[in-house]
Amino acid sequence: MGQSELLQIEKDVLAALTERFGEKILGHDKFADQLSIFVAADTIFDLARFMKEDERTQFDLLSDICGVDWINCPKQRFELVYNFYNIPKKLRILVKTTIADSDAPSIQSVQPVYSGADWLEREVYDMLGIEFDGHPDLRRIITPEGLEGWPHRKDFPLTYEAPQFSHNKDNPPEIIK
Amino acid sequence: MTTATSSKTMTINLGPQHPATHGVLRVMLDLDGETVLKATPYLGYLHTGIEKTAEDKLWYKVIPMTDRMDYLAPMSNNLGYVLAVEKMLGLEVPEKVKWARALLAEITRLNSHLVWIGTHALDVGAMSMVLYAFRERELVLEVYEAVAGARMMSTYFRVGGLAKDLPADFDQRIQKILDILPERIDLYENLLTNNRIWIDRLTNVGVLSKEQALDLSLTGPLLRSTGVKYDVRKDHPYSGYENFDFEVPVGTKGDCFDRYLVRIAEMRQSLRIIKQALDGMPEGPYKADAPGIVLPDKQKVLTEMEAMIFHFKLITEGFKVPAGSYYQAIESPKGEIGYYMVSDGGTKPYRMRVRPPSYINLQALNPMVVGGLIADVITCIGSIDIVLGEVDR
Amino acid sequence: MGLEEKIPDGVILSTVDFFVNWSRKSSMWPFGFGLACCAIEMISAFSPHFDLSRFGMEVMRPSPRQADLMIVAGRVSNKMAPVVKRLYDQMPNPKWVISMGACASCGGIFNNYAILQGVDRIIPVDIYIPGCPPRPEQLIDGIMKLHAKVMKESIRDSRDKKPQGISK
Repeated sequence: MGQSELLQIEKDVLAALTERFGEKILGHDKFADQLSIFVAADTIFDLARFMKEDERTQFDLLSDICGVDWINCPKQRFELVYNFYNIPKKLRILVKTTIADSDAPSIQSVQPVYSGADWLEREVYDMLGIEFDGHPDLRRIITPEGLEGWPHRKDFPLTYEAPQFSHNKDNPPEIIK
Repeated sequence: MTTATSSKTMTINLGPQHPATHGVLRVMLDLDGETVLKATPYLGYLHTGIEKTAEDKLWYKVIPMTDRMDYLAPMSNNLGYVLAVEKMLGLEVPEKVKWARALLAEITRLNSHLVWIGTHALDVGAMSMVLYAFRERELVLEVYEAVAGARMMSTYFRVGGLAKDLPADFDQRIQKILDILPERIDLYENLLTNNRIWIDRLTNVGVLSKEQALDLSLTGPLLRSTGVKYDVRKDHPYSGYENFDFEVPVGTKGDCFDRYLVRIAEMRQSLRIIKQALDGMPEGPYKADAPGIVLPDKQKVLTEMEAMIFHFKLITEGFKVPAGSYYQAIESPKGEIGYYMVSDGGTKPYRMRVRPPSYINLQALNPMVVGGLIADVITCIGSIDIVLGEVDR
Repeated sequence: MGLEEKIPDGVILSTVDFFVNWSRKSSMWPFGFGLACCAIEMISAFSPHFDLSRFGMEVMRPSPRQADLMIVAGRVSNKMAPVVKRLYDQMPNPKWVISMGACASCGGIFNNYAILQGVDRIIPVDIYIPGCPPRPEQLIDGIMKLHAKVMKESIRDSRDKKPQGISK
């Protein structure tokens, strides 16, 4: 995917972030009309606060949080994508950070800054098993009680079940995982 | 009565089987008498694993699954997905496709809002509204059936175009909607807007402030009713919306009545867009010329060898999407629906994340109902306009 | 003891059967129970355009205690399955089940960890309606077929039968 030119407002945001966080900002990438900024995981709370409150950024809407499981690189296994949107400036920026694989991967919660992150983080926890420190009510939200494992991890089986027909009725097919 | 008993709190379970929760939503209500202290939604009773299953499907095979998330707005869901994939492929679609997609997305908005007004009014007690709304919805479903062959799950948009050309009587069918629906919306307004009971049940119920709505990441009519003018169609026009002249209705107070007014106004604006799209629909092919991504014409498949090979290869192997990620947002009837697609360069999505507007908007339930009466909970659920298929995915 | 001895069992029973079955099928009370997409088509079937009240079932009961026909309209997730089973158990006998749509019948296009592959694994199903979602006409046709099935039942069957419901 090719690189595109940064707009002036995007340059301003990037400059403000670099000035405040320095080397915690690991880089950026622009594809089509979309700017992604890569940051270190331990800075996400301060960054969210800065994104919301500083006058140079003022991202009023935390549109989405989602997680991607890159199972083949254990050092950066879980990628979290924070989707910030600024309504007056019509600017969307994706902030991406990665967490290494461990028994209990964790990152700081941004719920105290954006209340909307509450369910978004609970869903990421439910689906990927990433714990959010400082979240007031981190419970599983969607999956049934008693489910073991984290469905959106790549090592969780999709559980394909071969359909039963009349010809294999007496000899039901096994559940393929 | 002694004062001691009146301070006792009570917990009531609403759902997952309840006629007024729009599906299988379950809410635990902590009550003090009839006053709601806290409402805790429990989700997942319709969890379908769509995001996970999409990782196991070829890119074009994901489209039917997106229909079944927000099943009242299937074409909006399709649109978001195909736009995301087209952007990653760098594929431009013909003008006619853009216009037809925008037109059908607005038809979908009518579909969703009609069901919303019917069920919402039914919950509040206006039984006849649901009968009227479902009668008008048949007009919309007739269009779906004419273009795609199915009443609800259309799967009409494809990566790079449409599944087939618009039918010959498309204009007449749309014209029928344009002729009938404005009068019928007037009828609904006559029934509801100045109706004493309707006003009393909705005004100052479920009030959200602008700051609260933004803090909770709300979008769509829920956010606009508080006075924030955020509409993806205006702010980031996609699929030819920059060609249309329309307004974004906003409310002032952020209560249930404002949300009702906003949605009614949106239906009128949708009709305006549909009219413009129908009048200005450009001529041209109904799919992009992109062999290897878009299927060849059926007639050619039957007569030409190359077309046959392309068809076979595409159906069995699918197409590859360059590695990378892209977030595509569109304005669905419920709010901003976004597709965050990640590709590793293969023939299947590495990850599909849907930003579900219903799910995020449902977070507003607790702040809306706290301090209100238990009967207002039903009004608020109806007013958020959720579809459980999209909440749980 | 008079007339009863002269007339064989079958004659009277079948006449009572007919009367009972006819009254049961003519006033079925479906359980207003929507799960997913098919629920919207179910509502469409009850709405003016298709008008299910022509078949004596315009009264949707929101409580399982007052219903005798359960239309499982939509996909049943593993989290919802115990609820469906419990709702079925709460319905008084005699009761019938229509599995509406591909998802309720066999899991449909969702063959994964979250969806029950057919509601017949938890409750007995009388009629399966294919389609994703089935058209309202298909639902009406399914209901007519159920009526035909009810007309073939005998009260002796249900008297001899143990309480319905299979457990997994």
